[in-house]
Amino acid sequence: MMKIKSKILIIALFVGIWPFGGCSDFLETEPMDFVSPDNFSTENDIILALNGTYQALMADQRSPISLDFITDNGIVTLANTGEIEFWDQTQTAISAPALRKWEQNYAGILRANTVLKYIVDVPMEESKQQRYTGEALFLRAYFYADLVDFYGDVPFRTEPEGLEKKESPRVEKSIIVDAILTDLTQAAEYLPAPGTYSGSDLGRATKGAALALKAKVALYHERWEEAASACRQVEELGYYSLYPDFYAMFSGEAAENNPEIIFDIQYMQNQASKGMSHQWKTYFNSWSSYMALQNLEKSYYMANGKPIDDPSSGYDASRPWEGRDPRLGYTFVLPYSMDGHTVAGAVKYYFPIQKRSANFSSLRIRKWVDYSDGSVNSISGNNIILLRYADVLLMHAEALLESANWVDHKAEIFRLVNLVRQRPGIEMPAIEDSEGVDVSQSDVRDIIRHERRVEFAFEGTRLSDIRRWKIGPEAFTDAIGYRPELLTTDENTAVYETYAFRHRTFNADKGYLWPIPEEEMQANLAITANNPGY
Amino acid sequence: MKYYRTVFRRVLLSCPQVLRALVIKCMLIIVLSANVHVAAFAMSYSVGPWTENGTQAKKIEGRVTDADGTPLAGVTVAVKGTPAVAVTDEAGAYRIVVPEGGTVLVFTIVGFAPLERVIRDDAVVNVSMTISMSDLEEVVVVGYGTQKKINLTGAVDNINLGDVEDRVLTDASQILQGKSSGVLITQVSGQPGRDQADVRIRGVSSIDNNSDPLIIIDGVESALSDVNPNDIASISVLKDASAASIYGNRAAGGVLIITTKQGRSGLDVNYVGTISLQEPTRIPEAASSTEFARAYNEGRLNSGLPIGYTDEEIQLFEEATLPEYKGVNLYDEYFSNALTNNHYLSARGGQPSKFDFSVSGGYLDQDGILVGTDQRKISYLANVNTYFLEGKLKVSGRLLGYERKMSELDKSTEGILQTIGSTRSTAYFKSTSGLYSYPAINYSSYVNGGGTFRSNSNLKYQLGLELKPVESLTWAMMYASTGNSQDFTRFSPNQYTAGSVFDEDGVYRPSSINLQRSYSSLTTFNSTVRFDESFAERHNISALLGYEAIAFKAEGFGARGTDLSANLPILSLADPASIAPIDITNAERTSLSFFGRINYNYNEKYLLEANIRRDGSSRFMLGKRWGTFPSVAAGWVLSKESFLSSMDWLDLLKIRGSWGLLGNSGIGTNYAASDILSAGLDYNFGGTIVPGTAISLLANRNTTWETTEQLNIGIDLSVLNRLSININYFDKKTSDILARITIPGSLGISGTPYQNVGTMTNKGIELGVEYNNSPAKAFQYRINGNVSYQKNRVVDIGPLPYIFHSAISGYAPPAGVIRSVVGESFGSYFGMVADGIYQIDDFTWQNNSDPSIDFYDRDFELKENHANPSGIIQSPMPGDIRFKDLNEDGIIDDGDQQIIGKPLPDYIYSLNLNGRFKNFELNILAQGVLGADAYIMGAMVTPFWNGTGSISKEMYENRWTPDRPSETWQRLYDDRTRSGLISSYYLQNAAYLRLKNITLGYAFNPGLLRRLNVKSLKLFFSVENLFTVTRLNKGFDPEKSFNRITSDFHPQIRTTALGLNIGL
Repeated sequence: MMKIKSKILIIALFVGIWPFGGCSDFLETEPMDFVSPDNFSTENDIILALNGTYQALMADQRSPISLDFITDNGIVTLANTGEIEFWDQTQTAISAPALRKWEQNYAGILRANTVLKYIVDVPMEESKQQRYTGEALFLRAYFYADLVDFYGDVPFRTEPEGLEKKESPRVEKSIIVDAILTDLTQAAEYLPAPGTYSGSDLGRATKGAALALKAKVALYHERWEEAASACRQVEELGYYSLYPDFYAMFSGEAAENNPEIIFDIQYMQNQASKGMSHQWKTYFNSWSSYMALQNLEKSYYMANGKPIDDPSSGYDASRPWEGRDPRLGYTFVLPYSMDGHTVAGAVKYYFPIQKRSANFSSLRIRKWVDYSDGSVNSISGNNIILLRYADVLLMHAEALLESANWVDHKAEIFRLVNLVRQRPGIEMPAIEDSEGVDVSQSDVRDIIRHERRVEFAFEGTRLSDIRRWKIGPEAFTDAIGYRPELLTTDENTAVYETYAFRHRTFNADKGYLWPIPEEEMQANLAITANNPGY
Repeated sequence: MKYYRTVFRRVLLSCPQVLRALVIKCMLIIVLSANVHVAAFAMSYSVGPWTENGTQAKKIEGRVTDADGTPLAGVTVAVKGTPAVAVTDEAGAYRIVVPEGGTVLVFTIVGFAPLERVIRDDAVVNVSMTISMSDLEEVVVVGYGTQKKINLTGAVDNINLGDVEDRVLTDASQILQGKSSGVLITQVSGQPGRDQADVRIRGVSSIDNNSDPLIIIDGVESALSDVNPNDIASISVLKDASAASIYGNRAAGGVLIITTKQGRSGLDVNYVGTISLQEPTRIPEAASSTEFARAYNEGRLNSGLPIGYTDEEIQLFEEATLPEYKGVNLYDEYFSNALTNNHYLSARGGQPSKFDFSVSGGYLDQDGILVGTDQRKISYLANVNTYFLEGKLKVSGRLLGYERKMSELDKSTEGILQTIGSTRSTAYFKSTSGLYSYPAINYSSYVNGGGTFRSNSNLKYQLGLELKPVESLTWAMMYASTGNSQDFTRFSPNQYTAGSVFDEDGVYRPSSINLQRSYSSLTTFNSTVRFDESFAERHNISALLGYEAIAFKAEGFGARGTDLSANLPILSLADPASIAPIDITNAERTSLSFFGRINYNYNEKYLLEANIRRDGSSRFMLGKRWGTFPSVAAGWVLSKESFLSSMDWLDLLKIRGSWGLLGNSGIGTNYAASDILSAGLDYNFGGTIVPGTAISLLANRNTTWETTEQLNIGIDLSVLNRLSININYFDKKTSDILARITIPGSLGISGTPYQNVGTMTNKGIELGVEYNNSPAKAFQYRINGNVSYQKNRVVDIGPLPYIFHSAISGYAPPAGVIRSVVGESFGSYFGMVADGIYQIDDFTWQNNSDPSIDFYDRDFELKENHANPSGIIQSPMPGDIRFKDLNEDGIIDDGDQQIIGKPLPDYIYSLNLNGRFKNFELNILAQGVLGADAYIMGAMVTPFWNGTGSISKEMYENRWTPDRPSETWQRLYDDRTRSGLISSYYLQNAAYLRLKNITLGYAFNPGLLRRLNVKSLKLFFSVENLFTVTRLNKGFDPEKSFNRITSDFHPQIRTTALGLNIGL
């Protein structure tokens, strides 16, 4: 009896198990809806990876504009974005903005590194290869420049690295800056001159962008001669000029890619689902959590070139917006000024008291928002400018001023600053006419710094300027605004009373550098110490 | 037979590629439809009485009663060794035709000891059966087979399904609540179609991956939603390693084995219908418009800001006559009571050793309490078995499926609840011209035909062969294929919303659409050989050997568009401005497994069991791919020992223990070993979109499964045929936990790959008690209760001291609130410790604290003896939360945070009462948890949450004010920077006791029904979630997901149902 049973058992097992014995590939499954970079083989693979590198600029769509809201230009009271911790000077290694910036820059670096590593093995025309390489070098330099500016010494990865290389130590800032400058020199060589791109290449990095970034990096790290020389090279390209409509440059897409723009983030209207539209219109126009500060507003001169606290300036505190630097109205939505249009086209005006969810300062922001288009909401296509010619001019002036023999360059410095001051449509008085020719180095320094502040307000550069000028104690002060409840719907009864609505003092313990994010500290054990104060 | 044999030989000898090919599918359909035809034919035949082999047969009839003479219905009467079988009717009467050679009648029914009677010449055989309280003969479904309960050595719970038919259950997962010790069921929503409960057997054992149990329905991996609750014949909960390890690397979260109902002899047609009313159990109550306006002014003053409403405006809100001062309660606008219809019809029958069938269909029509939500679900099941070769070969076919349509508003339900909780009572809902306000845009979409529409169809077809060439050997083979298709459409029409209450034109809102279509299939093939034999009457051996191959494939695509030219949910490629690029997803995985089991017992006294499974998974790289999961178990039935045999009152005393390894390969990726280059990282140059790619996830080539080692010790006790107790102690340790732990951001990837890093333990004790009174009494009752204690500890997370869990919410508070910290319980809450509320006495102000100064004119300074909280809350005032200075440095800051609570409960308990008196039947089920915390902040909980939130009446009535210095409620403030402040102030005790179900049934007397040709008729009244005892804030439910820490969750529903159950 048992014999029969065992036979059946064996047969059954045989019949059962046999089919899989010969099919060892049953457990081999290949990814079906994505590819790995090891498979790069065509020029198009490289172009896609390069486009993806540009996309890293959009990874944080509020960057770099949101940086102005932790300075003395503005404040954002949204708890969830984390800027308020930096504003309050209570930031820690787990503060969200520190991680956001870190991840955004390193994402860009990985993508640029991926292009740079694989491009050498992909056959294509040499000129194309050079251009793509130049673009990737430029972008990598841009991301590293931002990192060393904000964090100081950082891990320096120059090719794509995986989990097995997760430990990477901080490298001294100066070494990285050297590498950035070298890369940018190379990129400037490879990249086409500005104005040569057209159609669906408009907005790619150019020779001008590489040189302007080089100037910026050199200037930020006080390599004055290099900075001045790079600025000069940009000017010598002969392509760039100041755009005659300051307001239009930041309002809507009509003025995009104009000759003042050196490099920008190319946003597109109605592409929120692709992450290619930003929401500054919503933040600035619909919400009140982003506020401009009186601290900034008061530093706009009268149109006659005099500061408002100069008794001879003609400033009238009861009609504070009259007779001011035109850039004030182009930068701010001031009380009683145009606040957009209804869909039907009727003009809406801004009355602070009407905004129940409180704009504490009564001051709102106009830059980056197309207030003429009532239908665009969270899907703005305004390009965010990262480098523009006015910046190059003022950087040049600053570099010359800080070099040992600044007096030799005095006329050139005046010329450069005046170009910006008197840009078409703004036409503020020249230095010679308002401050006079008999000025000290420190006077000129103040002039340049003031000019930078009013020219580039809400463009994301103020925080870096505060850091490199080491003016924390004077910049990180209380938030001052105009009391909104006194600004009623009747402009004639408006009372402009300033008050401090949020207090702070500069936290010298934390200095100017941002914390290396907690995540990095935890997972990258090669980093042993965070920046001081964290 | 020849036909079957050749086809199967061909199939089995060919490769799996061929298995997956059309050939077998076609063959299956042929076999299946052949089965259905046979069954249908037989069904029509079975309606009339049939005779067996004509003239030679002998007829016996009789009556079956219990010991007290009460008739027993539903007793199976069989002639041993022959296919003849009959079932007693309501009067206990049966009639059976005994085929030639029949010598013994066997009477069986659950709950009574089987009885045999030798057939003599009597034409009438009346028997009385005695109760077998301990259900010792009960057979329990285990992995790839069944086992007698007495012989079990593992921790297996067999769920009592007695009351399921009379409850309004919309998902099979709801059956489990309160039914098995050590099993935590959390139903986090009452939304139609999204009310599936989370099932956690013996705790959470994985960090990022699913801790869900493996669900096996009729031998195939499935989801609980796949089956209609009424179709379930049995549910076994496999809790320990010895029971579950036969399922290898899928079983770490325990296993639920479900079998569906099969046909029996004869023909039973059954209809169950219910109609029920649903209402929210707990819903937040918003402050009225005047209350809100006052509260808002107070909050503004408290934050040093101008007030928002003048006294005149408040007066106008009070009067509520002008359109702009009417006020609104969005909870009233969005929630209302709703109806559910549930119908279920089944026909089961068969003829012993020839065929049996069970076909059923269910229809559920459920409207949600939240506007725009509903579900319609049709579910069906056909089980058909046919027998050949004198019953030695069983061919079975099965179809199990459902079709479901679900809808909700055009934003996620959580988003809607967030909107509702963030809309001020002073706002308006509709303008005077009938346009909806912007916050009500989703309501407006609903009115204009928008919404989220999901339709889902799931079909499993299955073929089984079971060959028993000799009594002791069974070879079984099963092939099943489950196809699931899902359509998702979210559509918002072109519409206008009101800009103000008097707005007539409205603001244009362009339409948008999001379409997702996906299809997945799961194919399972397994083959087992089972051997059962007894030697020398005492040595009982059974053995099982088998293998299983599973292939899973998923594909999908999605497309989005905006500003559609046709204002309909149609996405046309011809619609110029609208299309976003199409997303395509594709994935597949396979697994191959070999397994075996040996059971040995000596005289059913000494029990031994060993299991082993070897699993290979395509998810892992070669070298990390194969894993072995063994287990061993032993049991000792002391009550069978001679030294205890004198104790008549002792029915059963068994001690058992088990040890084994289980795995979890259920990670969220099928390709852990590949770098993933993602597309869709597009950019635009000069106004033209250019496609872009980037590495989005790094490969981890070392990924492998998680391993859970589990020890179980149990005692089963049954005394006096009345009381049974079972106790389990378990110690579960999961290591190599796959977690997506932080990688350095400097690698350039924010997506974190899986790494095997963690270790976690779960220990606990489970106790189940059941008591029945004498079945002979007119009033019969059964009480059973269970309670379990569980303790979870995170032991290790690789290099990290803790990891964060992200919160699910539109407005996530700062990261790190929910974290798994080494040494603490999984997913604990982390934050400041609230230590009451600052009172006026804690402050000084001008003029040596001159009390005559108006409260709002005082410049409050905290007294010296208080730690300085100004880094956390700007300018603290009386009424603010006082935080503990944990590190005692005099400053309240981030250093003063600690674990403040945990979502996993210490105790899970339930009590089930079942009483029967004459025609009445009463069922009560209560369940709850103890020792759990809920963290709830957000709209209606935090004052003016994020600057926009409304406030609840409860907050309004209890808030701190100078005149009512509360010790527990903070003051109001309008300061959104405080909205993200994490502290134990928002931590609430989530212990609860819920009267889950109460059902009262009335069964009509069979005598009355016989005249109507009706076998049985029962009317019942049933209430789900009648009440809940909890200390949570009003309006919020203690049953919630641990990572939903904001208040935007859909309430649970109370369902009051009337039902009817007819048997024909």
